Amino acid sequence: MRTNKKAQIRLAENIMVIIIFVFILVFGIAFFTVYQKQTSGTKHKEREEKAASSVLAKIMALPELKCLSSTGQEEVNCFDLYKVKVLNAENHTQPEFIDHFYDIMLESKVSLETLKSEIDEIFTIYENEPVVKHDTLTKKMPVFLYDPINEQKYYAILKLDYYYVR
Amino acid sequence: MYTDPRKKAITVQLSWIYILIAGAMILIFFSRVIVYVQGYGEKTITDNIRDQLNDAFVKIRADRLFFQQLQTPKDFKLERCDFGKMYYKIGRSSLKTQGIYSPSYLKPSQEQLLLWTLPWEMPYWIDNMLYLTSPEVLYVFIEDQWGYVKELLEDPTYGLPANISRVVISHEDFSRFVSTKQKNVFKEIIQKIDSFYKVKFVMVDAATDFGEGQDLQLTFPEEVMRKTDTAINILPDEGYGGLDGAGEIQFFDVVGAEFTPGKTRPYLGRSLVFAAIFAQDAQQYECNLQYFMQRFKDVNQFTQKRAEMLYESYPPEHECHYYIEKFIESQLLQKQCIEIQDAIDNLSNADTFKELYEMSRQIEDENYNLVRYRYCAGIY
Repeated sequence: MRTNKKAQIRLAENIMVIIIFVFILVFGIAFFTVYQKQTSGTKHKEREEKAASSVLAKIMALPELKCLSSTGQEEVNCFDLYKVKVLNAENHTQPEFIDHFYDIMLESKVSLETLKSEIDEIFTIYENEPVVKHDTLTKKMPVFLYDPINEQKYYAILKLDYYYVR
Repeated sequence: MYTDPRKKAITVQLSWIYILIAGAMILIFFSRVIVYVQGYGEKTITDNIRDQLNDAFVKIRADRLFFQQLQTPKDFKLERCDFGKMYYKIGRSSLKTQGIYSPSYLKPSQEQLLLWTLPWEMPYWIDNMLYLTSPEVLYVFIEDQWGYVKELLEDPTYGLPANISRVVISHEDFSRFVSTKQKNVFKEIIQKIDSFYKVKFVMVDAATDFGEGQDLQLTFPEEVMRKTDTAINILPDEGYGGLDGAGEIQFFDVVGAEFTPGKTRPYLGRSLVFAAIFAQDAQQYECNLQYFMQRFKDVNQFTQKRAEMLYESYPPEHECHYYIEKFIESQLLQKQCIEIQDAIDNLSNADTFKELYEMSRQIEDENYNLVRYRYCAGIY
């Protein structure tokens, strides 16, 4: 009778140890998963931020947008109005057009808005919105818009809506 | 109570086996964790290096003329080039980039690689060409009687940057070597060679210059050749603009201690001459050329549209409306576009590239006249 009671106590002890062990294990895994999710989420966001900045830098360097002085020197942060107009007039949904710029602008919308000038217009340079559910990162950059006919410069804002899948 | 002593012995042995198995499993588990963590850590480091390099490539592409020393502790290996897309391996990470000319293996010196960019214009700005190399790659230039090598090295704007390792063999010394086969001319290279892992020879029309028009059989000393895997011979055509115009590049392969002539490919503009100097071989040169020629075509078509847009924007009574109409009617850009397509279809045809150069000159002249003498907006 005494041996039986001792065995019961030992069994209960073992069960308790197993329960505590499983509890710690589950808690540990849950904690690790949440932490990993948060870290990878932050890293993903950082990576997308970098990618968006990279896209913006590539746009700023695009020969199809930049204005050159009469001596062939490039002008900093300056876009040629007629180059912008050519891109604005393009059919942005045409696969050929998207293919041409995809390596540079990926999935994004690039537009240019003039500020307080005679040219009161929003020019769309590129538009490629993904069909799947996505988030948007917006980046803006002040630029000059140069009109080679009137030899005038206007202030404008280059806006990049960078789409990424979470 | 009687227990069989044999049964007890078996039980004891079995429990030891269980302990051993469990121990081994725990050991395997932790060693795998260590390997994973180590690999993950290394990958994170190489990923960071890759991201930094990618940023540097993007930034440098934004500048038309730029030289930069890139910080990187890791070696680069070019895995493949696919229509101008370059796939490099950096440790455990991969880097995909575009339009870069470089040796297939890049070993940093004091954690540095060298990156340089030149604009490619025909005559409008098409793109920037990027050149990536290591300070431990030695470029050996053999001077020519026409002064092209001097132009490549000493031009203040479009000359090879001073930080890129080079040795220049004078025309006189090399002529002496060709006739006497005395090694003295390579003395400087042999003294320095241990600091370099790769040597590349650059010559200009060597057959005409040193072989009196005959095919030149070049055999260099073994000490030099053991680190040389490629050489180029630039064949400029003065009638087509020399280094800044159209010509050809002869690529050499190294078999044993001898150079054997390989493919000959055309160039268009000095940026492509430097591309051949920095490229590993004719394949890499051609692979990137495919990409740049496609860019050329795209930018040409874009310039055509811009010219039409300019024409429509000038009022009909404005004289620039008339001059730009004249330019459009000349169909210079359209003809150039057809010629670019011909070049894309046959990248080894030097005549097409010469024709393209001629057309570029005409477009440049027309544009110059429009801007300078007619006070109109330029075509590009």
